[in-house]
Amino acid sequence: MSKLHALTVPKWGMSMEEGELIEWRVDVGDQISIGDEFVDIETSKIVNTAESSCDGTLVRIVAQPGEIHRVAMLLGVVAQGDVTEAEIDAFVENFEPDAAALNKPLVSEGDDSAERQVSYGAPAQAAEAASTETPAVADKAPTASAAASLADGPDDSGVKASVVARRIAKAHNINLNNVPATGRNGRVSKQDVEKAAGVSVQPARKAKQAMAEQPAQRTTIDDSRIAATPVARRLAKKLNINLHDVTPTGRRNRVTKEDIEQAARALSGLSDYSEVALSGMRKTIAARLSESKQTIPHYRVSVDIEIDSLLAQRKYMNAELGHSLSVNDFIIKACAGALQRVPAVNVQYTGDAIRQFEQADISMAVAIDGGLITPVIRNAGNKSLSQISSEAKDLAKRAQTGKLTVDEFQGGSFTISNLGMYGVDQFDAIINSPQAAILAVGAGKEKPVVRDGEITAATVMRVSMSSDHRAIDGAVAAQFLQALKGFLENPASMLL
Amino acid sequence: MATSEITTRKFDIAVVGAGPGGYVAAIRAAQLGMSVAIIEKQHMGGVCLNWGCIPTKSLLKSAEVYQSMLHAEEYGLSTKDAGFDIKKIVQRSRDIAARLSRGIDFLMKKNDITVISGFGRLAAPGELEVSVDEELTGRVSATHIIFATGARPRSLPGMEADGEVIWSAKEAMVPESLPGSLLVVGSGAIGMEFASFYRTFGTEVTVLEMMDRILPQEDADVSAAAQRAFKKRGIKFFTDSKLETLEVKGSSAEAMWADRNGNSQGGTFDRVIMAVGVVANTEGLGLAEQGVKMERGQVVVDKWSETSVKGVYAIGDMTAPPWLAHKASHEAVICVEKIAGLENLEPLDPLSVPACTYSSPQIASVGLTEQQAKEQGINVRVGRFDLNALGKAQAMGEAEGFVKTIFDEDSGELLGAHMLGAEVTELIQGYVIAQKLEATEAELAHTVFAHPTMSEAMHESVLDAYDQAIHS
Repeated sequence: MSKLHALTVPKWGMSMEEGELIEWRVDVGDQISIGDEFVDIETSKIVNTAESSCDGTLVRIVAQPGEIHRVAMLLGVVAQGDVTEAEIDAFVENFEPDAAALNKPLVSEGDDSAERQVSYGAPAQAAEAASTETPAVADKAPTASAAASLADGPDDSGVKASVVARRIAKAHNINLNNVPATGRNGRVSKQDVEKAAGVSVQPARKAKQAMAEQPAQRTTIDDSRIAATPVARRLAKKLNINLHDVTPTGRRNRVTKEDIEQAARALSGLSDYSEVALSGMRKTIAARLSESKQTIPHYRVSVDIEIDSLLAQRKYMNAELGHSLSVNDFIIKACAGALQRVPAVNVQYTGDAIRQFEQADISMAVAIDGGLITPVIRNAGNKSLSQISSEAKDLAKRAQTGKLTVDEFQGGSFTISNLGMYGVDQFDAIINSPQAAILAVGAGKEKPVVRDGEITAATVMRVSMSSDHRAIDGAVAAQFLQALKGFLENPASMLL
Repeated sequence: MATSEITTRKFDIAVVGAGPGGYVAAIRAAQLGMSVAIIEKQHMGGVCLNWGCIPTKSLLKSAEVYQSMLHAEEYGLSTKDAGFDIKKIVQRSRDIAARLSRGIDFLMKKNDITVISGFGRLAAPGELEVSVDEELTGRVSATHIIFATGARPRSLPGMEADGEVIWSAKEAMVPESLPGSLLVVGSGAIGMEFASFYRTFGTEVTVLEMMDRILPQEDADVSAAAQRAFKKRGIKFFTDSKLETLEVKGSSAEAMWADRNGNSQGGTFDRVIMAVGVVANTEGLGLAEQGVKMERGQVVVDKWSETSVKGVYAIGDMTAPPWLAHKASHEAVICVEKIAGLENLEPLDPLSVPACTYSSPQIASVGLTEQQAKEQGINVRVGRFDLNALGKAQAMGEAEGFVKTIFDEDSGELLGAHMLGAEVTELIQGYVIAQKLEATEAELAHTVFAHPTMSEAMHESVLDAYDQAIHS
């Protein structure tokens, strides 16, 4: 057994390719045992804490907080017994990531969540389930708490900082006491704040530069007779702006420097801006949704559902029976029921087969700080409304604080995205790949409907289902919506 | 006075405070045909005219003349028993302040402005209560109410001015005799003006500054050169030094501070002048009670000086810096013209407000410092011209100092100008105008400057920024 061991980026799921190092929990010199939590890593989905796979003393920290590393790459070095710096250097130098680890997620033997998923015939999904050995991050909410901690602290007006640094810090709600200073005379510099905030503030000159880079265009006639201040004329020339294209606001209709800057922004289409580096979650959302929208042939079918009866039932259940059911809970239950009635929607397209699921695992889209996540209510068809309700509340709450375990948000056979609380009439959603269908739910609104030739008022909720045409045909989608409408308009039928 | 006698008087505009912000607002409003009341609790003209800008300039002129007398021989002149009478110097300054204050009374009368003596308090939007010695004496109702109550010297906790041994600016400008030794706490414009005045008349002056350089608002080159010049005149400096204790013992004060190396230093001084900045006078005005938003003790206003309460405005030192009389006056005019609905108004750009220190040598500046410009990522060109290369400066025997100019290389815009030396407080205006007109270095280079004048240094500094200076 060699004396030196590598601490590497673990793989917490099939889709995990990289992680951002948030915080070391041990320092160089600390003793560490197998199973000890040593580092917090943020993936596209959550912040989790990695556990050590070896015993010994941490002798080298290779990766620093804020850095993004691919799975299986070296984070730190653990030694057993005495080692020299040269030996550690050589170890780091010669480190090769474990090829197998690059492809193999951490699933421990006999992991029941994995087996359960296998049982309904989704090996790929099973692989995504988390190891029971990597429990939820119980004590660390992700980015939100990091941001909050940067804002905390005593009055920072006495902290030595450049004016620009102070301004950026203020804009990003950062207390300067939390920013390590590297500037001259121990002053906090602009770069220090940018580093702490993970932002890069583009100077206002960006728009101007962009203009200067563009070839001369637009009006080309001689503008020397247009009244302008000397600075404005110089700037316009520099930026290839013809004064005919600028609205003058100065005295006696003179074009001023500000007018040129305004024009530069307008003509370049660039306003002053700042950039925030993509979080792991943002990257995954971007990659997965782009892939879904580009590869899955989406089509949409929508239907209006009258929910007056449902609302009346809900009112009774909540008021008289002491529940606190939401309309969404009914929708989850109804979707599960409809999936059971029309199993042809409870499928996935795998490229060479249609994978048919046996139970309805409903993913629900939850908006969280910086993105969204889709915790899963497993086998919703066999759960009661109140069970679904309390489970949904719990999952949504823990999603907000970054405390979901990996197996709670991976898998799922069908997704519901509900924006009804924002009062939208209807919208279309992008399929949560590799699933084959997603239901977009609008707000229930009182509308005139025609019934038996009479115009009457009803609370109407429009839902729109996006389906993968490779797996689900239009008629099937329509049957599903018909079944869903039936359940929601006759809530008692869900009890069957 | 019985309540029944208190009547409410109605005006278009009521102004609270008759300093350089308030009285200018009142006059401009009257010019625009509005009925105007101005409420002042003490002196017409405010601190600036009575206890600030004007009387100190009188004192410093006395110092300057005395300085010339002492150096008469250098000019081939002789004086017998050059001397001074501090009482007369002070009296001259008080007479001038009094004369100018009466001048404001006259201007109020001329413009048909109702002057109400007392303390104005916002009772409700559009309603003011006026009181004298906390007794209600009148009510004013006005569509627009402008607060211009200024600021007062900031005091450090436990080191408050007692008016005897520890002075604020007010006591410092009416000394009955000259102190043998003086500690000036704070090296901003006010601190350095008093340090300069007292040093000229022979007082041993020590200046304490918390920041790493004196005149910390100025360009770093100016701070460094100014410190050298003041040191030459015998003023002692402790920068990066924080006053820790200050105790009055009989007729003098014992001060202890930690110097830049963290070592404890101390001394006994006949007098101490506290010049550690100002705080806005916002208390008791009913502003907070009526929902006017404050931040760090200052009234928050929009670019037209309106507060968070519609129809209530604040200008001058009670709002954001710079805390300078001419900033208050300028805001006053913009605020009133906006109320009157005039067109083509421009809000005040704080970077276009010049700042002047009337010490010997003088200091004047406008716009960005070199460091600020570079921190904004601007590609700068910097010019500098030393006065000792200038004929007029040599002729005047005032060859100390320099003129520094900072241009944006991309646009030719004059970003900032910083000057140290004789008469620079009069020179700076040339650059302020150039900046307002958005002149580039080309216009300034092609402007003819009279010879021989101090202003030639302004020309040379611009030329130097583009490596074209003639006399360097």
